Amino acid sequence: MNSEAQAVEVDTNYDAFVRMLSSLLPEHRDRWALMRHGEVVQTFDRVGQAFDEGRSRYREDVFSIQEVTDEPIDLGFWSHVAQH
Amino acid sequence: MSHSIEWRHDRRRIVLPVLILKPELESGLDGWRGRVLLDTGDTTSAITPRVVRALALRALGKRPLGSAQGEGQAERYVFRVGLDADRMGGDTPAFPYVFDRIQGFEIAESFALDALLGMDILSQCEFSMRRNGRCTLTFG
Repeated sequence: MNSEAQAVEVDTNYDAFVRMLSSLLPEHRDRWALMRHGEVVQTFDRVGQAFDEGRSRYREDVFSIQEVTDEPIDLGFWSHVAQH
Repeated sequence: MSHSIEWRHDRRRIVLPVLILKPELESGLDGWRGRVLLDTGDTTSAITPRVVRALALRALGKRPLGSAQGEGQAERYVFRVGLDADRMGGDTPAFPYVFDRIQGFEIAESFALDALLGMDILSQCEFSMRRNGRCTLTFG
């Protein structure tokens, strides 16, 4: 697996994912999207399923997985501490 | 069959041993042994860069990250979390219980522990904590 190709793939897919997120949410919210070359290949209930499918389909292991959600990760209460 | 593990917290935070594993199921139970902070305020589990390096994990996605500094993007890694009940003593199974794969994110190298256990894992558990410091986590 080429790590540089993988990094480019993640960035490309994320840019495409952000643009299509609003259209994905109604039917795929909280599912896991297997992505390749800027397109959603398939969505899955569990991230492990998406991972296995990606490895099965792409022998060079270059793909990404995006969670279909519009909620940011929340790091917890301590992350909101005010800094002066 | 459910498993329960018991341990004692240090009155400042709730920490327990953890086994972080590669996402490939054929990689077995060889992984990174370390300490994890139970964090009910954290939506998603996380690992430090030293764990990422040790397991040769690759970033597989991104997600917006909210923090006091505003909103950024976190790279996400797929991995497995095992709770090594055998190392904690008590009435425990011989092998660690391994949860289904999750997509967590990377936290700063400066974080004192090896990982954060967020609600993606804790929501699959029952957790109790007594005034004498005794904690119980039930899962499976």
